[in-house]
Amino acid sequence: MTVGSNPTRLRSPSSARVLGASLACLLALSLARPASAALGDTTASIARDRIAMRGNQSSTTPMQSYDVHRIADPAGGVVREYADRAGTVFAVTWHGPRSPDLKTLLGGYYDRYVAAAAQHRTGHHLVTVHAPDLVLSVVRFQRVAYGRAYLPNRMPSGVTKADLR
Amino acid sequence: MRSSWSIVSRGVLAALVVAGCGLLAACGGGSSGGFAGVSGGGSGGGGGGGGTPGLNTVPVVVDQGPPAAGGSNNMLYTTVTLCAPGSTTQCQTIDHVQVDTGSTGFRVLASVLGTGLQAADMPQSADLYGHPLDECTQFADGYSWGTVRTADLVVGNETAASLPVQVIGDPAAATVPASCVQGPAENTVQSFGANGILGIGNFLTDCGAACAAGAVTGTYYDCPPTGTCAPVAVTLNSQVQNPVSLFAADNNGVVIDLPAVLSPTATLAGTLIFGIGTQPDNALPASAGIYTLDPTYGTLSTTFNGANYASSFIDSGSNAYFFTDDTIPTCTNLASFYCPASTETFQGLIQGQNGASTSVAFSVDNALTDFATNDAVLPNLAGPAGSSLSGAFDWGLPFFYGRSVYVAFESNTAAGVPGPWVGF
Repeated sequence: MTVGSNPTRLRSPSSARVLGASLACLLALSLARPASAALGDTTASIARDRIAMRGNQSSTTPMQSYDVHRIADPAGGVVREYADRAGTVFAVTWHGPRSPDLKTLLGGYYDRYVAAAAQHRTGHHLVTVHAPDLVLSVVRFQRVAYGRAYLPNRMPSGVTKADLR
Repeated sequence: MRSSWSIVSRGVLAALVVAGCGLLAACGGGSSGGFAGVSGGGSGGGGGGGGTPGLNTVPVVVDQGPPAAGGSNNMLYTTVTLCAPGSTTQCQTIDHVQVDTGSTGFRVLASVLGTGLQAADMPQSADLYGHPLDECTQFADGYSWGTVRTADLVVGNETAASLPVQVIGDPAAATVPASCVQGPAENTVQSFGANGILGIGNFLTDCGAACAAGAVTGTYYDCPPTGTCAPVAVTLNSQVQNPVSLFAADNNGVVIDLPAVLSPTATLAGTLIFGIGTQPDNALPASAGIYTLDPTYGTLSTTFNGANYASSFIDSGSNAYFFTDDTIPTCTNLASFYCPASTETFQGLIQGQNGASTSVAFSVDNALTDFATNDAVLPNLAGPAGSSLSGAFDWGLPFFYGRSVYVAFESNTAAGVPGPWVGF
């Protein structure tokens, strides 16, 4: 067994535990795949994500100038990826009992989150980035994890941050 | 059941130690951080004990934090005594433990141990396979990795016996699993910002039913002696517990009582009271409101500038008000905080799930001016919550200044209302 590639011991004496672990890690596994869509990348892999997450809920809502790809897990977590007509993910949001893997979800912007977090200026439960090219918030408070990140320079015309739920 | 004498004796010792700290903090002004350092347990003297606090209280202080952390703002600390289970000699008093209503469980940085108590004095928990149990705690600003061990925790005059705790940065922990790593590591006092953390939020365990039902990535890990760690289910009783819920009495919630402060101040001393409605000092006044929380997440609702923030929260572990108002400029080269030209006053409406609501006024001043004072207590510090509607509204520690904030636990009833709720 290697670290990362097999994050959950699925063989257990409890079938309920296996079910819970399997479902819980499906989202994590699919989001952790290098091919999955990330902020600033294209959505070419989102269809593959949906297949990988069979058994979970997922849907795509077409808007006037962008699509919202919604992925939900049985534990109540929801991830939304906002993609423009060219297929570029310009925003991501998440909310639920556990955070999705931020390394994958934030893609090339993950290091910006790490740098902001390392300043340790705002406490353990909220980290933000406010820059011309990136706005990000990460919240982990009690038993909720949520956040959102968007690229102001890559928002489709007419889309505002108020559209990102 | 160990002897009550030993518990009492430890409690009295701890009370004397923290009372001493409190007096020092009160008299020392800006130098109150000077009592930092970790003293050995079991050697405290008797004597005075003037200003005897209630038996269910412990002093808290907002100051610069442990010197190794390099300074802090609006962070609330207390002093605890950690002992090997059942021992009155293998003990250590630990100052600058952060008081956090935004998390559950006691966690100590391994690097501060060693003067009175070694990590190995506290037995490491075994998981359902009989293997050593390690834990990953993922905060918003990084992750802490360490062992789960059992200890007796004395806070003021109250004891949580046989308490599962996390020892962060424990050299005995296995190699950190890749799935734990989210953000920077917070396994040292410098990166964590405290010698430990006293998580006394509304929940009784840090993970809860999800981790009891199955393995959850980023929480508890099965770490066999050979091989690598993998997520593992942990029963509720074996999870890291809210220490107050394990006290023999005064265990249904806490009250954080801090005096009002209007402008930057070097330090601020207050009181952490255990229990709600269990003693004369912790009765909820008739003037206070009760705002029940989402029982799954621990959040409530805030309405601000016509927008509703359904996942907002009141948090002693956040060091400012964090909310969204694009009319307030952020600071140059420090966009995590607001820098208005002059102090501005705002109002937000806090609403519980029970429908109770109240309007709360707060002020925002220039964060760069605040930080330039080098004071620890910055009552008007605020910053943007990041992005859009339905995002965060975080009522951080400045909200607690000038208030008694009641935090009622889940599965408990306080003031006649089932928790989880927050009252003020």
